[in-house]
Amino acid sequence: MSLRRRYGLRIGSLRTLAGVVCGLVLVARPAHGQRWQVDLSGARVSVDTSGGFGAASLAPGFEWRGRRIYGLLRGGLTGFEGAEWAAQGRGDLSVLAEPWGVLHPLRLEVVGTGQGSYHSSDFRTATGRVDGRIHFAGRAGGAWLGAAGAVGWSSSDGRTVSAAGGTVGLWARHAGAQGVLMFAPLRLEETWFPEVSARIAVGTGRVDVTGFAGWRGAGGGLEGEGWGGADAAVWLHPWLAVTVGGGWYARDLLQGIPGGSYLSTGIRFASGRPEALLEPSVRPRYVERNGRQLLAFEVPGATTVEFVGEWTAWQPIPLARAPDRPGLWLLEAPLPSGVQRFNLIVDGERWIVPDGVLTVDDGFGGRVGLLIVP
Amino acid sequence: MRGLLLTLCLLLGPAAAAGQARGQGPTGRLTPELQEMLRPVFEQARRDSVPVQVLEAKALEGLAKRRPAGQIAMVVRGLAVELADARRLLREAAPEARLSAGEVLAAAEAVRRGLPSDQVGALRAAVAPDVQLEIPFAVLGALVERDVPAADALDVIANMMAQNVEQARMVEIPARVDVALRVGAAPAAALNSALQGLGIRVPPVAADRPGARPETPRRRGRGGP
Repeated sequence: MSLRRRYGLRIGSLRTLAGVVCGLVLVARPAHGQRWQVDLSGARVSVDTSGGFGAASLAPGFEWRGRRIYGLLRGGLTGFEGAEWAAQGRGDLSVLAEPWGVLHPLRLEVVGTGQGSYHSSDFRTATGRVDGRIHFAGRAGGAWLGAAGAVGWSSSDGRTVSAAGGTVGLWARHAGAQGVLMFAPLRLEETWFPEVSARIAVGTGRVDVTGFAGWRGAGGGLEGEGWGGADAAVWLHPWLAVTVGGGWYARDLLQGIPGGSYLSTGIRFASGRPEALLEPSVRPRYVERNGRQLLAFEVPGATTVEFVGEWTAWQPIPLARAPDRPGLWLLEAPLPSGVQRFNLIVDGERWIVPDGVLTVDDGFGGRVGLLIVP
Repeated sequence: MRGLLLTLCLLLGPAAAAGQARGQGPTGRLTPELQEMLRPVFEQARRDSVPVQVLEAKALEGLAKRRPAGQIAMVVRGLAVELADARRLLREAAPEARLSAGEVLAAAEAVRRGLPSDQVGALRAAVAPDVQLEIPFAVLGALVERDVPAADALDVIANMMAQNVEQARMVEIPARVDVALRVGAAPAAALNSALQGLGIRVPPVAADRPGARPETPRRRGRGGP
């Protein structure tokens, strides 16, 4: 039992983390081809029914995103105190269909998940789940309604249990943040387990943070339980991050694994930072001042900034310094629609194109910005 | 008082600059030496129906950047050739289209950035003659410059035009592509990612689907075989 509990802790931790990743992906579906990552981490974990212990893990992951298909493979090899070890694997596949047309907000999705584990004591588990969902997807938010079926198996009793239920979810996305709220009641062996969970992920600067929380109601002799925690990655380089996480996770009903808590830290090698949490740094941008939309350029440290381009017949005109924000400069006259080729002149002598603006070769050995005004 | 003067300056500045350009004429602002060097270029451009104001603007840009007259003349001559080629491609593809100076320039720049010249005509032919393509060509050029396969980029832009997707949303694509490239995506996948991120769903291209894409050879871009 002790082995199983220890084993279960790591499995539960992996499930929680994988669930967070999977959930975010299913919401955002930003599709950026292939991506891999490998986590090396150490953790202090404890289960509800025993004390804590240390563990070290190697967890590779690979994801593939297409226009309508998303796949995620994650694995883990974990060493525990006492020379025990365990291996886990999980795969997710999501297929999206747009039977009402590509611009219609309704979409259909089928998600399949398979997971298995093996412990050095010959303890094994397996589980599978299929979700069908109908999505109402907008640009910054959406909702879905779905149904799910699942099976689980454990070598401890050799039994296979089945479950079914529904899911209702809401999601929203703003700037570098995404949030998901889901209600997913599950009927397992004649007993309903209502479950509510939420996740929020924020990417800012070099840091990605994911927070999660949930609650499952009592049933079948089991008490209700809650869970929650946070995981963060600080990106030192596009392919290297320091990770830290901690929280409480719920018992796994299908595999009979108890809940617990964890505190982990490690490093992550990756082919790139997860894109879902990044937003393009589009500059210049429009800001509102006194009811007017003004074009704003970030030029920190400048004393004067002038706009020069086709629209001004290449005669410089001064930009106004934003009174409430250092480094922000405002063009107060409206630009005509179309493509405007321009430069900024900083401090009367330095010709630049501000960050985030499309550029083309100006033919004179420099670059000129393309300001596309719709 | 200072604020008022600044406001007046900001409001009147562009108008004054434009007025100056109108009153004196862009060519009138060029140095006599440069005028002499560029006269045959402008005359040839008029004969070829190439937008002369684009050439004048380039010359003014060179002056503003304090480049020598010889270099400015060389750049303007090169641009005149590019514009003539782009205009010919557009005109052959859509003889009835009303071509704006901005569209011809954007098409020329897209070719300079790596768009195969036959795809310039393909996009022009794929949309109605009254639709202006200045912004689409600018976006297309930006995508090709990011090594997005030209055929894929053209498919996406043409489909967005066919679906009447706002050009304001099209403008956001290159910055989104940059995000995906920054995190390690391949250019073609980065384009898909950008579309997903913007909530733009463009159907997969099928050669036999009428109107789905211009009649253009596939994979002739820099990223294609």
